[in-house]
Amino acid sequence: MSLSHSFVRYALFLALAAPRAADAQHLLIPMDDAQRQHLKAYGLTFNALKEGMRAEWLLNYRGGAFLLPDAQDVRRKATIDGIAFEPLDGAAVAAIRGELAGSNMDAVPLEKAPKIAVYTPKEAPPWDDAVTLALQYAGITYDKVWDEEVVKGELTKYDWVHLHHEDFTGQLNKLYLGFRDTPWFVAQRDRLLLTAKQLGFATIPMLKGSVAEKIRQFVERGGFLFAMCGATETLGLAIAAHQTDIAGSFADGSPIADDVDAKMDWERAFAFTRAHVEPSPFVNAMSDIDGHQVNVPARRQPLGQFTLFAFSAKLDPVATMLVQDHRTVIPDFYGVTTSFTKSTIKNGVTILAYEEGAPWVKYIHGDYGKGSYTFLGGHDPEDPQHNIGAAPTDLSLHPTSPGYRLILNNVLFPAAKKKPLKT
Amino acid sequence: MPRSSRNGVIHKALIAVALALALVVERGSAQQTQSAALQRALEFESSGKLREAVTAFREALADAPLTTVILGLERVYYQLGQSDSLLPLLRTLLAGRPRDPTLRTVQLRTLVMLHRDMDAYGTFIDWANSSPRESTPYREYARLLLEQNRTAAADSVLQLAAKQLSSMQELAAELAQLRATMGLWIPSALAWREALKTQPWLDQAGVYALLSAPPEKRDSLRAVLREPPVELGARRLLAGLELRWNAPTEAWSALREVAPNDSTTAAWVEFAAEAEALEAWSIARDAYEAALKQGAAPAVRVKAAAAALNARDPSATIELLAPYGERPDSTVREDVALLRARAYSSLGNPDGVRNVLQLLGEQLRLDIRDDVAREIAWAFVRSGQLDSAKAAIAATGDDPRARAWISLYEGDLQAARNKLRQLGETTADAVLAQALLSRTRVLRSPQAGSAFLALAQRDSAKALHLFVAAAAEVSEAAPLMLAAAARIATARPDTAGPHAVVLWERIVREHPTSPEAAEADLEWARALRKSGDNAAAVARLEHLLLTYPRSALAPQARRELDLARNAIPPEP
Repeated sequence: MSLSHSFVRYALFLALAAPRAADAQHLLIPMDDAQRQHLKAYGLTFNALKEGMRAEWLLNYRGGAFLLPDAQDVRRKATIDGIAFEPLDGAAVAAIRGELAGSNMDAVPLEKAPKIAVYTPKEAPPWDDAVTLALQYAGITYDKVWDEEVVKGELTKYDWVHLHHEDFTGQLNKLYLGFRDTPWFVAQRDRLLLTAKQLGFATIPMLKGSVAEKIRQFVERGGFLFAMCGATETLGLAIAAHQTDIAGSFADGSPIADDVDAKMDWERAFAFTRAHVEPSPFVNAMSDIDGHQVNVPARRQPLGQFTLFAFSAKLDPVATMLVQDHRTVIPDFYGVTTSFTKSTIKNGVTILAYEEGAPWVKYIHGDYGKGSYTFLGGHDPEDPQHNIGAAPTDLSLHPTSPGYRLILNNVLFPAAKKKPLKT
Repeated sequence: MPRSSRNGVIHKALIAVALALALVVERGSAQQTQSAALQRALEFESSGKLREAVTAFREALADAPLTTVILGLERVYYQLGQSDSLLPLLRTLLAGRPRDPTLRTVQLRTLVMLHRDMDAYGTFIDWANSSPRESTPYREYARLLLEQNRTAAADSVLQLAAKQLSSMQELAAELAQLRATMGLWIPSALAWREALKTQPWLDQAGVYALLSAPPEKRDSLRAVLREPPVELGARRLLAGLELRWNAPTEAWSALREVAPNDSTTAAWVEFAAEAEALEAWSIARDAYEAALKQGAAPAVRVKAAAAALNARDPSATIELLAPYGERPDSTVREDVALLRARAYSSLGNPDGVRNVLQLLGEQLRLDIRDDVAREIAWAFVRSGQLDSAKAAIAATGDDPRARAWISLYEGDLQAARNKLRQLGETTADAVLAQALLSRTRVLRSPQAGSAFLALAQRDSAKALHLFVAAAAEVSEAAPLMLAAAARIATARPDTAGPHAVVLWERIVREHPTSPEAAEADLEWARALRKSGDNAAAVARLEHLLLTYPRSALAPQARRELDLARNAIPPEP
């Protein structure tokens, strides 16, 4: 028998496996517990958009299901990746729409795959950062941009930019204290110093401050920013410190400015305000924005679990998109910045996830200029402790990870066609 | 064992030890009556009457050894969920004994367990200040922090120790553990080497700490641990790592260079047992042999001979057993007889087996004697003399197993079908034979029989060709025969590669609806990935998943696909 027989068998299988396939017009990708490959389902939807198809995100319906056209290529990819799908005819789709209309649900059209950039060194493997791990696993393509590209203004090419554990204050997360003699730290510092010199900056803090400003401008002009871990906190600090020196002398040769808190310009920052900058080079923390202070023995807080807010799908579709998940309570995970202290968050910022009774929140979103930003604390949802040197997370062991779904919600939400709010 | 019942067992064992210790301490002293409260407390504890135990332990504070009482209270309060109740008592006791390491350790452990981090830090500072030249406060606090994966905090504690203490030798193990947790593999290996000089029992802890070093760091670790002078601790650590990195040859190479003495010999015997557990038989044999040369116990010789037989080196088995002579003493007689018989049988030497039976048969237990006798028939089978094998069975009594297999080797599938089914054997050869017999109605297949005989004779090259030839004789089971041949080809370094791939490809193309087709597709893809052709591997895996979506191999295929697409981190 030749190979063509195999494809005949495949077609036969599809016909048998899906009795309604002949009449189907759509494929429903359930995102509740019927799905066994939640993360790959985002990749399937993203790539369908990339190939010019239209899709819909059914908010609050079956865990945030996707409705895709019943195309042979979509079925093929779903079968290969083990993504559950359900063929639907016109009547079934109409019944779903009726259910959406009468409940706290809605259908958001997805039109165009956003162009994605991840701020990371060219040589960094994708396993260093939860977002690149998720993108790589889901099969979503992205470009890497680093200091040179950002300083030269190349962010304008992209719709969506992600930042992870970069320290935009230029103090290399104060790892100098514990790792100053380790080869990887020395190499990282030398590489950054070289880049700074090549781009005309005297110190690493000056280089990173300039990069932070470019990122601020990118959002102000309409870009989508998603940040995790230490980037959330240090980006805010770097932007607010544009007229003062918050880097210790080990980073730039000059001491931190006197009365530095009073010199911070929080007006320009995205989400945070009135934070206290940690002045001591011997305390492994940047400020009091982070509620958990993982690297400061006397301040460190234990991990709990965070709860996703329920929003009105029809009135607040953006926030609803960002919290689509098949779980509403998710175990917390540490990062250089794990959470955001409530008292340092600006008014008007939307809290997407919180920890019951704790003075911090986990996940926030806000508008800035013509764009918007989303910050998620912590480093890796499936590696709660994240020790340096630990093996990278293998997402094939966590294909239904509710924490990673939050990351991928952010990748897809810029694809949504904006509808005028009803309020 | 479930964790709760395991904890229960451990708990009871601890109580028993504590009770025994308390009794030993008390015995001989003049205060035998004064230990009554302690004894009552331990009894209450072991019978689960925890509140009564608290009262009795507190009473025992007046006359019983303080360490026993405090540890008892710590256990009982923990089980009651009232660990914080211990803290006021500890404060009172510490006022009189500020440097008592047990009191300090329990206080620190309780505070850390209660997540009272600032109080724990304060306690540690008090303790360090009250015992300025002692390493214990630093060690205990660093250990507790490491147990909680609080690497940065533990690092701060050890850095403080480095400033305050004149030597870090006593903290070498904690430092090593910390460095490993921080991913500083080379400094960790150096620190482990240092620690093992004075604490050689920590070698297993070192192995587990360094085990997760990424593959690219392994050579550097090897260099650190192999650096002269050759030390038993460092080499045991390296050998342990190499074994777990699936490199038993390198493991033995690291350990055998250590100068022999009693400790080294004991380490070689322990290592051999570990190698046996990993089925690294030839390495186990070498290690046992080395220990024998240094005067290890005679029982080690039997272990070495058994390892040699498992390593498919029957000649070495016979050689190793030679010092026992023709009539070994009763302690090893049965082991020696069986091993010799099996070794001669593996060599296809029926006379050798007969000789064992003749010399020792009378002195063996009946079941052992029968086992030895059965090896005569198998010796004939392995030398290809099936008629003589049948005659041997007739002479030594019935052997249904040998009869069943001989039927198969003769190609009499009809006779073999019933006989083999009754055996219920689950070896790889038996499962393959059963699969063949259930898939074909053919009555005779000399080629298939010869292929199985070649397997029994351990002639895999011949078996490979015969299985391919048998595919034509048993057409319904052709893909099964081809898959058997392909598996042999994959396992043989000289024929792996194109030969195996050709066979897998033939199954996919000629027998796409067979049960072996999905496996063939998967193995074909794996071979392509191994050769670096990821694009072709992806195409094959997609073909598998689309053609056989319900196959039990689909999850494995998806993982291979993720690896081929670079969607997940590469396997170490």
